[in-house]
Amino acid sequence: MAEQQSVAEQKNIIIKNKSLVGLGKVLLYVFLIALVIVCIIPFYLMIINATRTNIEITRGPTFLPGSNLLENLNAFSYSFSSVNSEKLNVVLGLWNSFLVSTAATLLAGYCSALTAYGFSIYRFRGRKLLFGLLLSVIMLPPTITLIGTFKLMLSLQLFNTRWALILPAIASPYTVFFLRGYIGSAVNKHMIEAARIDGAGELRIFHRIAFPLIMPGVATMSIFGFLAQWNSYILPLTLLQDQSKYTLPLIIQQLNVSNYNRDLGALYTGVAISVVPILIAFAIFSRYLVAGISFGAVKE
Amino acid sequence: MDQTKTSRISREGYGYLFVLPFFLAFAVFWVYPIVNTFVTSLTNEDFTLPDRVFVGFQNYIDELLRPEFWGSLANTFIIWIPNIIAQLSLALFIAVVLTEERLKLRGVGAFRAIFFFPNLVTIASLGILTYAILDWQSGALNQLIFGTGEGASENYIFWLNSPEYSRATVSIVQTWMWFGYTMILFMAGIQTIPQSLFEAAHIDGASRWQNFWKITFPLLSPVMVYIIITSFIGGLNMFDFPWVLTQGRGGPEQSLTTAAVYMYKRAFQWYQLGSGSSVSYILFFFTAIFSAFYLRMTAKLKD
Repeated sequence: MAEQQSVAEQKNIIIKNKSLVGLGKVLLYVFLIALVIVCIIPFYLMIINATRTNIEITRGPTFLPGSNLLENLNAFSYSFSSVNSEKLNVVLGLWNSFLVSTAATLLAGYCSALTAYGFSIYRFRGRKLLFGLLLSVIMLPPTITLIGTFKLMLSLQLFNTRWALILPAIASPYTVFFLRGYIGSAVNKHMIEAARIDGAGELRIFHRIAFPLIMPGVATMSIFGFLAQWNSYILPLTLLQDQSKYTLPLIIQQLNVSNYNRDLGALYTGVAISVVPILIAFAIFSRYLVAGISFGAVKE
Repeated sequence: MDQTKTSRISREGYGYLFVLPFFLAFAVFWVYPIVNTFVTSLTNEDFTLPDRVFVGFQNYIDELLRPEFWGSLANTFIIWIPNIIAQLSLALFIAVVLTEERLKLRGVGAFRAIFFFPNLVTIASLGILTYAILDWQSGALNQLIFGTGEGASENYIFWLNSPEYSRATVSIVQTWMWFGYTMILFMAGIQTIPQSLFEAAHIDGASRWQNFWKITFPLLSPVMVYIIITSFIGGLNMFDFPWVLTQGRGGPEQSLTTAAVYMYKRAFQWYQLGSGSSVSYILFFFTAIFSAFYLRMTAKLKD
């Protein structure tokens, strides 16, 4: 009798616990979904407001799109060559950002793979010292090179050219660090030995055998590198002078100092134009990005 | 025999060839600017002066005696400290919840990706977006809080005209931007903890709360160290967002002139390259001291 009671009690407790867990779970979902909304809503408002007129926007926020998108898009200039002082040229900004980011990403990917391969395959003298040197700048605060870089670009006559943003990508320490770890697991040294016996040259081995194997690692780092370059602000701000060379963030930044201040529809549209490419990149690559960051957490 | 040995050595020598392009660029684009910034910091270099003169550590002394410098540092910390506390607790909580096996939450991958999204968006764009949302007349925030009816605008708050609200805004946006990233780091850290530890604890009758404080939290300390140090560096270099939000002016009562904004203003608005360089080196020393101190402290706690 007493035993039965205690069994029933236990069951009761288990049921209670279960429903408690259930309630906790519901609360957790509510909390997580609220956070999702907080993460998304500014961008949703932005896209909605990009389709509304200035007057509609001043009347208050809504979740339904308006019909003023074309009109708002008209507030910008879309020519590849000329710089219209009246309208901000978003296409030129997109183009400049694309040029600089692509060139820098390709350079960083190739040169870093080369360097990482050199460090992990060959046992040359001083390689530990050199690698230590490379690692030592990874944690340096970026402002420490800013003024020096500015003066360097002036004296190399690269100031106010896109090269000033592209060439430093040749030396991307973090990418090398990442790829060296990657090569350790992706490249089989016996394969390289075999290729040597067949008489293949060292560079040829790198290009034909190793590089394709390193490619997934290079791709991961390239996504990060491209986004970092695309979003970069302080360097182009310091190193570029001509409006015609401005990258997108520099163009967007002028939205709140110019006439767009008074045309909110156009302002939101401008911001939306700059965010949509990121949204697309996110939709395609988010999995690789998460994996890339996780790697960093466990390695360091 | 001898021949194979030399060819072996010369083959290892190929390593130099492979790392050569990197180190050429490294010397030009890393070492030179770092050294040059330091040399500049020892001079009175100024765009408006024809010649520069070596002044030793005078710039450093001047900066350390300037209230504006300390003010910018104070701004940085008033923004950074609440942000790092909020960011770490939020990220840790979500990371633990999403990785908890007994909860079996759905959509973990989607949550993780969406929380991370704000981190990818161009900060300049976020600055403009925030500016538009906080605009006191037509910004969505006032409209949502006070409504848009007749006379509602009398209550509207001029957010970006107040030092407190401005700093709070930057702090909140920083947290919003970074908690997802930090959460991913924590989740990766948690996944390296052997599941057998939790099972053993479960058999010993440990509660979830005990599990967290006795297993998860201590084993996450390397990740925590990494996050706090990189975030500290990021905080001292916070530039894009306050700069764009205030159109390069530094905000009401200079409340958004963070340390990095102050350095940039010295160098590129007031053209005092020497002085600006000394600020960037002072910030570097602070970073180094903080990192060393923090690493030591956590190492001691472990013993």
